[in-house]
Amino acid sequence: MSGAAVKAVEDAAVTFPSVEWFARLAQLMNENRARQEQLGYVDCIAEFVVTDAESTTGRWAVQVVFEEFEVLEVVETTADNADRVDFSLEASVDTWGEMIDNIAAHGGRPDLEHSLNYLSHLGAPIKLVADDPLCSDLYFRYNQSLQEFVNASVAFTTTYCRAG
Amino acid sequence: MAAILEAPTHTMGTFLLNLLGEGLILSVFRSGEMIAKTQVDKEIFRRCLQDEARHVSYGVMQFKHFIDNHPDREAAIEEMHRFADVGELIVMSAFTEPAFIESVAILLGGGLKKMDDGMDGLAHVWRMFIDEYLQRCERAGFDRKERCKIPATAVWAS
Repeated sequence: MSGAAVKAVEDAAVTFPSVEWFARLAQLMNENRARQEQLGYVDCIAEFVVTDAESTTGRWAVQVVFEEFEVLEVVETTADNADRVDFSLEASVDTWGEMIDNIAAHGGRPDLEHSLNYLSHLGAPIKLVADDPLCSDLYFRYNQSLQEFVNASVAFTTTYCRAG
Repeated sequence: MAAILEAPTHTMGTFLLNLLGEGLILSVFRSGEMIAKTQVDKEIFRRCLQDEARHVSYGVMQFKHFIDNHPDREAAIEEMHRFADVGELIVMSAFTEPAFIESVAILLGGGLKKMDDGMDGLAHVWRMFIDEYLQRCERAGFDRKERCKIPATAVWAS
């Protein structure tokens, strides 16, 4: 089995949650196009939601626009663009943080109990939300690609902005 | 498998295979990823569920196209209801097969002594599968909520 998409750890720390943090993942995905071509195309708008973000004293969400083998756009969700999302993955900053730290601790691939599917399969701690079943199915259709997307966080240090 | 191969029409076969059967298998693969004991197994399951989800989406869209374009929509839907009445019982019999249920429950629970936990987890997967199946039917324009033959709650949990 091939290894993680990105392994080298860089020095610059990026705060989670932030648009910058997801944009960094997007940049890494676009730099590793060969791996995405191996996994297959990804056409969806995925929303990552932090339910208790300190910066907004509540829900914070970012949209990642995937098209074919790259990310075209990373943008914070607003009232104007909220409707275009295919599906959302909702979790607390602690849940996201535990997943990110686990990926880092295991060299770019989470242990058996911290994959996106593991954390979301039973509806908690990550909750998959979509209005249309065809859209929620996109999460499964691109699951390995989305896993690689978050696995790339091993390439930089993450600092956290937690509520409370 | 025989029911799929011997389905009276392509659409009925697609419904049974892609929407109903593979919808269940998609849930099973997602559970497989969750209970996998090695990274290799997990990635295999993730890649399999990617493929399976494509089949399920195809089934929903093909079925929707059939209903939307049929010259006698109501008659077509009623005919499909009669077929679904049988198809759902076939799938339910597969999902209550002890050789399948008990082995998955042991893996899901984390061992023979935690099999009861695994059965609880499987009951959740059951509810999730039924809920998603009914959503997909409704998305295709085929409301099965009032006629579905599969109980909303797992038979061992009711």
